[in-house]
Amino acid sequence: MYNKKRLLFTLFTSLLILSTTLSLIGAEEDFDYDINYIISDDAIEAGKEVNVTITLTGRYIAEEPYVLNKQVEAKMELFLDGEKISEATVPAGPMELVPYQDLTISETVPGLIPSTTLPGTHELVLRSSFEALGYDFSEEKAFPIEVLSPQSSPVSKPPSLYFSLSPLQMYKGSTSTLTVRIFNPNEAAMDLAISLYTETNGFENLLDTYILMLEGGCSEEIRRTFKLLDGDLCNLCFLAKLEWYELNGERYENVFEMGQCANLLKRPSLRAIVFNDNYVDLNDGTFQSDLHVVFINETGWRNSLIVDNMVYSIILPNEIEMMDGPRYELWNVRKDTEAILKIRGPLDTYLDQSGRVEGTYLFGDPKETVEFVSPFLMPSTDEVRIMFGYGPLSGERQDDEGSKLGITAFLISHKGYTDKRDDINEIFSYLDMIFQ
Amino acid sequence: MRKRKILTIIAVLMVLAVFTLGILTLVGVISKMAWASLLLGLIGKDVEVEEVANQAEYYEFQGLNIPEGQWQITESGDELIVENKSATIGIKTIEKDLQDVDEYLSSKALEISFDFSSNGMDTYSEKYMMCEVEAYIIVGESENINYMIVFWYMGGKIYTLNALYDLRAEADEVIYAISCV
Repeated sequence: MYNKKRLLFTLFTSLLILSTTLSLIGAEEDFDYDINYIISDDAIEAGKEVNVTITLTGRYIAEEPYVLNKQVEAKMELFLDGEKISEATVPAGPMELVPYQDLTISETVPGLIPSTTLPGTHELVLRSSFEALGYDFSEEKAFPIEVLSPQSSPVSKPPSLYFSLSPLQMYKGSTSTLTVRIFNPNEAAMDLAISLYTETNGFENLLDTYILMLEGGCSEEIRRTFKLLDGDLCNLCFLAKLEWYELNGERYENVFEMGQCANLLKRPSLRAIVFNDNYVDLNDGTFQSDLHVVFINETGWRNSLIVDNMVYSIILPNEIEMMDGPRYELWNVRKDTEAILKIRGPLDTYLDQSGRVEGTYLFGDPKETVEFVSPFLMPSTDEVRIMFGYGPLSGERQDDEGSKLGITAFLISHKGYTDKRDDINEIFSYLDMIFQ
Repeated sequence: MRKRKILTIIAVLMVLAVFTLGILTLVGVISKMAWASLLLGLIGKDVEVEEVANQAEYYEFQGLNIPEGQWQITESGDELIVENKSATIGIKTIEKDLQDVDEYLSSKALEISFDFSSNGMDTYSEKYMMCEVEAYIIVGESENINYMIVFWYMGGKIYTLNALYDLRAEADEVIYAISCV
């Protein structure tokens, strides 16, 4: 009876441990990421500033949007030969991530090499740690650094400013947290005033002015969380202006300004590029070839939201037979994509060369829809015949008389820009004709 | 004795439930991010979230708002030109009475697009929203020139944005920033 109970208890305990572990391990599997460390200088004078930048770049690769409404903070500490010389906190959340969104978080942790440090090789360690509810994560990265003798007597230096936007990518409705880390690279304490602004489409808006007192070698963090309301911004930057600082009784005014711009994710713009290759003469008066349909994103995937769903059709000239289905559907398109289809056409009839790829795609949260059409031209019958060593078809081809709009004639005969303003004025003159 | 049995059954059910959740997570039915979100939601703190929106001052033209200050803007009658890095964007409105707006605009989009295509230009078109109405965007690229026209119908006028550019992103920057009064 006792053994039975123990067996049952052991089984339950094992199952409990296994299941909770299964639940939590691999949470990072939903992120495809890379962490990169950069030290500001590997040879530095005693008494000078050193900093380490840690950058996480990755992609959220789950199928559903991710929402974190709270904020958690990780701690980062810089140690020189085991002695802590600096610490900082790094925020995560609140944030919303859409499936397959790129993610960049970069933080710089500055510290002061004590002026009493002896010249020679030393070890600088950045320790990142996160502790909560018994969940304890810690990672260390060590850098050998060469400490040099001070070359000159200490001079007063202005504070150093470091920005972080977590995450760097923003879009309408998304939330990111800004951290401005202000570091005093002097051994003496300093007072300072710093103003924080947002800049949208070239216009600045003052958020706040902060008066701070920093001990030598210490930093302060200004942290604010923003939700982006508009989708029509061409830029969103956060600026910090150092209004003044006082050090050793001296006051310095209007010192400098620095900023950090968000990477605004815009709508994707898909364009189909169509071409043929692998022609085969089927020796029955027809040919077969591969039709490549390549979708590229004119906005660039790094700067755009992904396509959640795309449905498209390929409309070929009547004379061309498609061996595969004419309608296709793709989900979670996050990179340029290509479909290769087999087609078959006649060698003894003039082809109508006009084809098109048309469809719709959805993106964003809430979903937005774009309808698209990408016309393309098939190679002419004579071009295909010549490939197989046949002569061109005899007789005159009955070309469709294209409308040849004036604007098209202007664009295709254009020899390169001289003055775009003149060219636009020329284009204006065609618009009344087009929209008559 | 009976109480103990019930407690044992409850304990077994709880363990099985957690185990099932673990398995569902492992096979991907429950997102691991859902767990991470739950955990971080428990330990995280609430912070004040500030709203950030467009602060720009606008140049108003025929019912359109164009951010003022960072680009050169020249107005002439019913035409306006915005210059931005490598892109020049001309805005022109054409007054027109239309009965079937969709039919007219889509036929014009097809006409322009197929004219570009049949004359050897690389082209593609999109239908998207501009000023909360459907707008057509047609791109035509040849060896020497890149052109994009965006047009839509609003208040008895056809609005056209005409961009000549080296990099489409620079034209998009202006076009995205144009909004309606």
